[in-house]
Amino acid sequence: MALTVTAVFGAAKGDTFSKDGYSGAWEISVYNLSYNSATQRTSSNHRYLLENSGGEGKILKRKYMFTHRVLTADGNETFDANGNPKVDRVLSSIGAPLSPGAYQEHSDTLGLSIADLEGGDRRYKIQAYTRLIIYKKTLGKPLAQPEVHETSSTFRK
Amino acid sequence: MRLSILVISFLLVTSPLWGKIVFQSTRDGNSEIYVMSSFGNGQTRLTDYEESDGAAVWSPNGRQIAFDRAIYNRKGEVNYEVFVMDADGSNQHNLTRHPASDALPDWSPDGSQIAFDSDRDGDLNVFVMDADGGNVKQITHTKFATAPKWSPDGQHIAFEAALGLGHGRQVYVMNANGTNRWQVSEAIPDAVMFVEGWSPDGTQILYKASIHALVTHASVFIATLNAAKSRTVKRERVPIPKMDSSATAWGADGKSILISLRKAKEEEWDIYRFHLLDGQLTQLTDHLASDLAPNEWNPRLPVSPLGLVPKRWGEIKSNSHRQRGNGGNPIPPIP
Repeated sequence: MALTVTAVFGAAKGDTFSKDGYSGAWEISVYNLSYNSATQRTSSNHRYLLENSGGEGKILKRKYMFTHRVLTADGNETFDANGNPKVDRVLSSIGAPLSPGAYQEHSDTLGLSIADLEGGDRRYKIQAYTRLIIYKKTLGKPLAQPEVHETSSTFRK
Repeated sequence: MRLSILVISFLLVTSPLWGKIVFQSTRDGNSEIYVMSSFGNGQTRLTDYEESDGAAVWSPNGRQIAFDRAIYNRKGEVNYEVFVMDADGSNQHNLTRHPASDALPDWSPDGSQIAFDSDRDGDLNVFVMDADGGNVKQITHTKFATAPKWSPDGQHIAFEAALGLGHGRQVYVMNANGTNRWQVSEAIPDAVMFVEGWSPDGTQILYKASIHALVTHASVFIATLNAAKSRTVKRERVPIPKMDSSATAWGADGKSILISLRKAKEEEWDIYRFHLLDGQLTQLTDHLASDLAPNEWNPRLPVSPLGLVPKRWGEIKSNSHRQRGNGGNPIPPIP
């Protein structure tokens, strides 16, 4: 099973960090969880042991390295001088300042091994959350409630 | 003489009077629905469909079987639909016919309705429809609720759900109209709970707890409910053999459970009957394929008594005898 996780931050709520001077440091923490899964594998072969109890509360806290495509406010890709899509790699979850009016997107594909999951006609739902927390650089405190983006997929075994 | 004995034996084990078990098996390459006697004899395929059939359950009168079928659209996306067929596999027809996935059906005890789960509202929830597919009603409104199991008195539905922050996937009971939900299972760290069904007398619920949802780390529990079916008064672990276990169900006698087991590092599952009273294990299927999801019907021990509680004559006689010896005072039922 695979689940593609895509989250877009910024444009819709861009005022929060694109115009008001809070574009210093920001952080993306990615929380992956599942209602009931075993081991989940990302496309880059990092293994994650997911939340297995099925709730939304216990989550795997991992700072995650994402490659972001940098988009314009209209959602168009931006390109570097060589014509390649402009990307912004987030290191240790601390990202670079966002340009005013821009927003970013990241995505990843998560695969789930289901061989030993309970069978005999069971419904499962794998679910991934991404959570964006914006910090003011000087204070180190979140400026606003985290934005939570969710995607999920139901499958059967 | 020998022929007569063989014929009589065959008739006895294949007679409906001895009960029947439907189950799903991959023995023809994909999941199809099969039927066998309660002893494992006469294994016969009922469906022959290019994709997967599963989740088969008997109608209360044993004349029909509800099941779900995986249907793929042109994009290659799977869509499950709830089907019903006659007990011999004939007259298969689609009840739900909806672009969303509808699955895991269960009959109301009077046979007039079927509960199922569906993601037609965007999340996965429990729905109820008439037995002809009409009058569909959504009765849960959560992010993830599945596997409805109707109580034998028709008043409640057990199901499993992940209800939100801080909750795992747990077993719940609600009124048949979706109100008054309460939790049956008890949270165990890292365990996912799966509801398996009601005891025939409606006093207990069988469920599984699997660490990380893995069949290699599964335990079977029986929850005893209070008379009002509003709380759990006792949870007991069933001492099943230490094998990988999946897909359990109550036996129609209420004194055994049907369970799919596999040996470590093997891929094939077989169905067994585990006798609760003495811990004996009887193997019912033995095939180089996976036999899963058994569901038993027995006309002598009706699963849907609507207030009637199946009793063996020995129990009735024993209770009567004990009551006489106790001056007519109420005596608890034999466990």
